[in-house]
Amino acid sequence: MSKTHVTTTINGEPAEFLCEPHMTLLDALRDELRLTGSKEGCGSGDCGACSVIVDGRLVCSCLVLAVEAEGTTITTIEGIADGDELHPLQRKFLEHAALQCGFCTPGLLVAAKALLDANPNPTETEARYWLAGNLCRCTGYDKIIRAVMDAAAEIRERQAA
Amino acid sequence: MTFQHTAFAAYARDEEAFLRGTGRYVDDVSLPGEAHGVVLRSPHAHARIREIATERAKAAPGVLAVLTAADLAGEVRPLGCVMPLVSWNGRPRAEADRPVLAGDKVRHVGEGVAFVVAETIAAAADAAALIEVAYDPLPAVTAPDAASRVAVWDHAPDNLCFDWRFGDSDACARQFAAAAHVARIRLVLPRLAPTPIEPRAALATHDPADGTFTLLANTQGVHFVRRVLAKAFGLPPEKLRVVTPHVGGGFGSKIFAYPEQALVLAAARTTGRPVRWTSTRAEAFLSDTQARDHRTEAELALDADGRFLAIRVQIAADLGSSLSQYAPLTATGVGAPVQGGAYRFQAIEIAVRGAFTNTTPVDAYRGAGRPEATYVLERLIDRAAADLGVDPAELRARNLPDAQEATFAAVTGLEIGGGRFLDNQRRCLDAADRAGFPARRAESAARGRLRGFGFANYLESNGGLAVAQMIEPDKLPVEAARLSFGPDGTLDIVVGIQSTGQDHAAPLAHHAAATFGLALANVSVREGDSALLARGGGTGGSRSLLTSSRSLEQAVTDVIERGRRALSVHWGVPPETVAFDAGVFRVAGTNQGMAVAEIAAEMPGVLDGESHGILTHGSCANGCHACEVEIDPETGQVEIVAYTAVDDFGTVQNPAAVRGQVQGSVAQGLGEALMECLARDPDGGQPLSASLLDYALPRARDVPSVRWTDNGLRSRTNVFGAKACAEAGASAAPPAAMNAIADALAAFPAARDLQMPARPPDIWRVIHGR
Repeated sequence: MSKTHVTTTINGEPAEFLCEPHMTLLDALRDELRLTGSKEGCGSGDCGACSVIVDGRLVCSCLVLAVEAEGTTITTIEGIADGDELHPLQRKFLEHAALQCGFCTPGLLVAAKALLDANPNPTETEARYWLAGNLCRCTGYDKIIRAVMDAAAEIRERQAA
Repeated sequence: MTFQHTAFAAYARDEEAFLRGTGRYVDDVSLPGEAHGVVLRSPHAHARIREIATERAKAAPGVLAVLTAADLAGEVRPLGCVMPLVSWNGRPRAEADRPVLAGDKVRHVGEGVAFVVAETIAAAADAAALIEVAYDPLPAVTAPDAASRVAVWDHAPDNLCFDWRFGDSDACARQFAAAAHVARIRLVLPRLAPTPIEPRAALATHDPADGTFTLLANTQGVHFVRRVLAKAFGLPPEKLRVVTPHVGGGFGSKIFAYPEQALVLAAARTTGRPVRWTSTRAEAFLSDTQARDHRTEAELALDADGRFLAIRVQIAADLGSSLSQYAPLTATGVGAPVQGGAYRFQAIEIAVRGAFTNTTPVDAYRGAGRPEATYVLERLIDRAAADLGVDPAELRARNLPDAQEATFAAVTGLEIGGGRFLDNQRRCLDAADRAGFPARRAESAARGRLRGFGFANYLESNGGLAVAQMIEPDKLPVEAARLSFGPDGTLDIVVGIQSTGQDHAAPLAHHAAATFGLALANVSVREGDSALLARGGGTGGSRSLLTSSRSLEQAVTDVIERGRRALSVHWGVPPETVAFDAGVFRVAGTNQGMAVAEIAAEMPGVLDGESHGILTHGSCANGCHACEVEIDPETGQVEIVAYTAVDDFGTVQNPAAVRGQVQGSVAQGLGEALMECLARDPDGGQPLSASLLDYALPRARDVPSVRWTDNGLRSRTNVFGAKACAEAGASAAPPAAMNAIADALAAFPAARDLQMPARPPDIWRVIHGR
């Protein structure tokens, strides 16, 4: 079966890859581009471990075909930090000990970034519902929510300054 | 040499890597030339296999091998259950080791029938679809049922694996005969799926030159998995190296060796290629060990003053179709010691009938028997209080010791090394403002809502002593630590425990840095490589800090002894004149001294070595959790409006990590109480909730923020003064939540039979009588 050539922008850099028509975006990221930060927890869009942002929209990359990525702009967990400098969300996750096994963490960070991009000042309830698409079996979510609220406040302060 | 792959290495916990997406989990590692395996699984709960035709699959494009039970005969045996158990009549439990692939029969939906190895996953999956299996379907038994005519194993009449008894039946009978009141309850603990978010995965290589195997797998301890697999293959353990990189949660399920690990090993030998397998989520719901699944009847005898006399518990435990490695113990010897909690009783009697069914094997999951025991005890006490019209707090207070440092024995014989007990309950009820509850209930009622308050005390017993006493020859848990000092002031510690998300290595690094006078940043703790340690106990039962602190203590002693001996030769002084303090060896009364880094530079390796620490006493964490719920009678929806925990975890080493364990274990306990259940079609045995769409897990909107109070009383059994913290919430939350729901629904008679999970439709039926 002939492969399709896909050209896209990932984490600010041009990227291209060859994929078969049935390949998911998640598999293309992990297996073709070796961006293994996005995880497969279910393959059915229920756990959110594979969350990425495609053209500003939060999606489960296990439910997107790789060929659909043609011409899009994608942010994955590998693009959240600014080089050596962690994103405020990543720093707050560290400070609040909001990660345990770390497997759901990339998806949660990407989803939280999408939340703060869309709504810089969420209520706790809004954050809890926005992140309800991301399963975490270790933390019981509390410290994640605190980290996200704290990061949101810091980002707002920085932008106000 | 396959042993030398750079992809296979011991790992340290690395939070920044987790945050950047650069953590290394099994599925993130790939080897050149690796092949992919797919398991063909049984669609039947119970069927005889007449024939497996693999010719078409073997001829399919890209296929390297197709393995069936016939191909594995003589190469690998079923994975041995390591827990012996003797029934009340002296008979040993029935044997039913977990098959690597089904032979003459399949015994649960999802049991492996064939393993296809191909160049790609797609090629393997396509070829698996070409395998023709001729099944003769048989009736299935999907719950413990002595009347069933279905025989899961021909050698196990009535599908009985064991009928285990504990306690003193005669003494119990006398107490019940003398009782002023007997409270009774029937409880169901539903079948759960542990469901770490990282699915199981395995990658194996084989070196034909020396017959060695390497397995990269997500485990909770490389040595136990190596031991079970080596035995199944008839290999000396040193011929199999097991490596575990970062692990995405385990909760008990990754303690165990699994058929797929054996399959990638066998296929690596057959094909001469590295072979990998990664579980899909659907496979995880069929093949990962499952949990709980008890049907329990319990009775509590009380005297006229409300003092507990005796407790009698009868459990029908569903073990699944075969025995996972700890299964008989999980259902019996782990829960029994805490069945009476810290309460005063005169007698106890426990009977557990472990039964085979045509379901996925059951084994340890977060608490592994203790949550089951605690749930039964704390629901039964509330039932007694309701029967007698007594305040459940007052009834518990009459029977629970107050805080005490002295060691005492529970009615089960468990030695409890002191604790806060009744003090936890008082503080918890204060912190939860139980006194203000009537006003809150009235306010809810004014809005048409039903409000309830419930709480539960729990007693933990941790350290792995119950496990070790059944499987380890020396009868006590042993953990290892290998210390290697560098000339630049570094210290590399390798331990046999295994993080699957716990931050348990941090206290070890702190302790070692302080002891040897090193910078904390220069001390690393690595785990997960059987080649680096002769033995290791792994992580499970909340024991890691207890066991690894003992191995580290022993290692410190051994390093000091090695240093004194080496320096006595080096300096030409008697060894007894060489003293060690704060990282420096000195000769008494002189200015002669050497720091550990200097010794490592001048005499490389002289301080280094592997030490084994023996755990002689575990710990008994204890506490009280309170839950407040509000129920919408129109929908049956339960909202947890407040959750309060007061825990005696001894001296807390790492408050943020402990708080995370409390919140996480409470979340799992609330999942058990309110939503989690692996449902099955009772006739055909088909799983009905084998996806994350159907098997409900708590989500961010479902779990409250736990108000936690550290009420620790230092433990005397380990250098850190710690008691185990990681499973308390799994024990306390289900009874606290269900007692709260029962309180909210007290006006409705049907609430007496409400079982977990208490989902909205179940609660709606209680309220509306339909």
